[in-house]
Amino acid sequence: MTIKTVLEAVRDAMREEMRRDNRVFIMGEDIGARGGVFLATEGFLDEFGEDRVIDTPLAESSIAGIALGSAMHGMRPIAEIEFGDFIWPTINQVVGEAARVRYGTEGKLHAPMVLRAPHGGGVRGALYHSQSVEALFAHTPGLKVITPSTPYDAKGLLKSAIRDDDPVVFLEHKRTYRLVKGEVPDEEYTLPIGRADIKREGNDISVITYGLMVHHCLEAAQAVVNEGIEVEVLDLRTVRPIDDKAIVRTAMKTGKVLIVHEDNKALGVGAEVSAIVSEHAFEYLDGPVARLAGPEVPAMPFSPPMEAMYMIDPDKIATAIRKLAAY
Amino acid sequence: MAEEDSIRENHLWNTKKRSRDARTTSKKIDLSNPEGKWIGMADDKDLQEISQEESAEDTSNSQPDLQDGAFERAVREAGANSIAEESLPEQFDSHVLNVDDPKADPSQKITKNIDTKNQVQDVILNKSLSNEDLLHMYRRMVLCRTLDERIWMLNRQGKAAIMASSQGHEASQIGSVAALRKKYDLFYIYYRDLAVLLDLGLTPTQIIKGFLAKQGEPLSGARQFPTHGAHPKYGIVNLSNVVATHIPQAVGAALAAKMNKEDRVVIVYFGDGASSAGDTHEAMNFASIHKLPVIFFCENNKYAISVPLRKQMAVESVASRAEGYGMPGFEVDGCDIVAVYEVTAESAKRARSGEGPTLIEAQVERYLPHTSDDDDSIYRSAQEIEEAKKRDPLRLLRTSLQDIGQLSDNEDEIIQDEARRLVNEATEEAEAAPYPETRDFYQHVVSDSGLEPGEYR
Repeated sequence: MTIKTVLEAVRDAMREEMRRDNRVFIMGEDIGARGGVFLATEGFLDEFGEDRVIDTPLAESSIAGIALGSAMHGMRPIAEIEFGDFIWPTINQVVGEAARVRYGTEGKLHAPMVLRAPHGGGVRGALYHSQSVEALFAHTPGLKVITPSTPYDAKGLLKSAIRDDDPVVFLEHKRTYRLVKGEVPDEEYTLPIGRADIKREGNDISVITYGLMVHHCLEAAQAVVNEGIEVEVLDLRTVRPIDDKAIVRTAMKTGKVLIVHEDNKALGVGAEVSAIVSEHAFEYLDGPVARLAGPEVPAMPFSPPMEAMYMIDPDKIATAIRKLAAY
Repeated sequence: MAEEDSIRENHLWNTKKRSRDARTTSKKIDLSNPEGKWIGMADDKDLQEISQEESAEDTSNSQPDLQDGAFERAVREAGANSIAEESLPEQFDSHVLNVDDPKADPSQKITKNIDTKNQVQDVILNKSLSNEDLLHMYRRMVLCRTLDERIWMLNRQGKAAIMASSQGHEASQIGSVAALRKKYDLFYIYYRDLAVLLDLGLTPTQIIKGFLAKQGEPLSGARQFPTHGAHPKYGIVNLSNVVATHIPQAVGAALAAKMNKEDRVVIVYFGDGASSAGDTHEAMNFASIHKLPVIFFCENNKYAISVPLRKQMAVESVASRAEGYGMPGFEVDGCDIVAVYEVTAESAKRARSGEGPTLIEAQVERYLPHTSDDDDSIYRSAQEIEEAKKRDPLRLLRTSLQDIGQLSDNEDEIIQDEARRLVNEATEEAEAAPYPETRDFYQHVVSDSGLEPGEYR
């Protein structure tokens, strides 16, 4: 085991997969000599050369479209979008095209590509460098959407995403990149896509979350221990396909469910989790399914007090936990 | 030979280079033939041999493909349903005509291209179309037109839900396909490319099944609009109805070919409307930066549904944009099948030898409304369409063949009758076929690997 940051885990995953399989290559803006704006591909140009580390023109739609074309013809591209907020020009190529390759050709072609993007806020990123983008992709059959929280999960899931035969949107929370450190095995491993993970066991309340919020939820869970509230934290890890069995299992166990995500609340991932609980664990519930999520404003403001107002933090989560526990 | 020379010159005149990059293109449209055998150059024996080899391959199905590249492996790994091959009578079979020998060893081809470029240039330039080839192309064009008219009729009878006619585009499509390697090069087509599909090997029955959404439709299992889906064996991809989204994908396919060191060429067909899309710009820019083996083939029929060219672009031509991407651009008379063949062959040679992409603008006519759901009388005069029909590619080729004594009225009648018979048979077979079963409705959303089927949504 070695202690790594999320950023190092992402870098290691890509490097190992590029060494393992020469069909894997990476394309995106500033990923070559610069090594990526977050340095996720630092050193890649020297090791793999210009043919496999392609600095693209500033044109996101074609980054996705060209990656898709190469994927349909035997390659395994990793397309990096510099910031999640710049991902919208790819929607047509990813949601409209990549997700339908298999279905629209009756399985004759498929698209083993990964679209990676740093996303999420709390980094003074304002309206165009803070957004959470998972919900728009997660609504699409044919796509897989991964939102890891720890170095261990990030590495194991990114390796699985690269090896997966379908298009995967892999969203790394910017704030976890250097903030979150954790043990990562030195030996080879992968993690299954579509499986949630219990990050903390407890009997009183289930907090279901993913991404950066996993760490805030763990902190909040710790904060309420002295009050006699035992919180179970379920990290979805993958939001599509969503692990409905794990969601139902924890809801049945505790009878109280709080869903926490940074993305805004209405019509988001939390709505789906809530519906799964209602449909399959209704009779086990001891209270209403609660959601704590981002506010209904277009995106995160720049000024610190307004950014803090937007962001979900451990205090807000602990308050929501106490409220549900008292129900 | 005077008459033949003049035909050749006419074709030359019908192609216009739009790029100022004279250095790389000074000999682009060189139709000169040192052997002086422009017409009648085809050796009938050779043609027969190709034909026999092709039909042997088609029936045995056991011979390996031209090259087992990454694309073929990927398709195989996907476990795609195998598609039954059907064939037509020899005189109409698309596989008879394959000017660039498909049996050539591609690995040798790469070496030749890199080491002795001039030799390869000679080989390809001399291998132009014979009058036999042209007659065969004419048969194919008659078959396509007959099929196109039939499908339009099936729509008017309420049997085919929608149809985008290729009438007026046939010379561009058949001429360009003839210049490429079938079952090896990749064809990213769009919705008005019936002749490309037919020429690559789909049968009229398979095509009509697509329009009727019947079982046995080979591209998408009738999940998609007619002519959409993919046929890996023939290198056909037509994924989307969203105009121009396939152009970056075609460039990605060319990137894959280059990374895998295959000398595969990707041709991507699109209309004048698609030339305005942002994806088109992004794709051309990338392809040129990386010198990718791709041919951008614009079938400019001067209308994007109802929007005329003058509202589509402020520049003179689509091809003139090539200069902005650093690639050669050609305007070609898209109703002149030989000119289209020549300029496509030249572009393919460029692509295969690592010189990068080419933009071809084939100026064609659209004789029918955008689709069967459109009414073009609202925005186009009958007189304009009558005028356009003077350039009917079918009539132009027929006249050329008659002029050189390659086609008599009687022979023409036989060809027309035979095409009608084939299309009649295909219609009957397709109409009698059942709809696909709904059993596979949930299949092919994602791969089963990595997930336990049915366990997770």
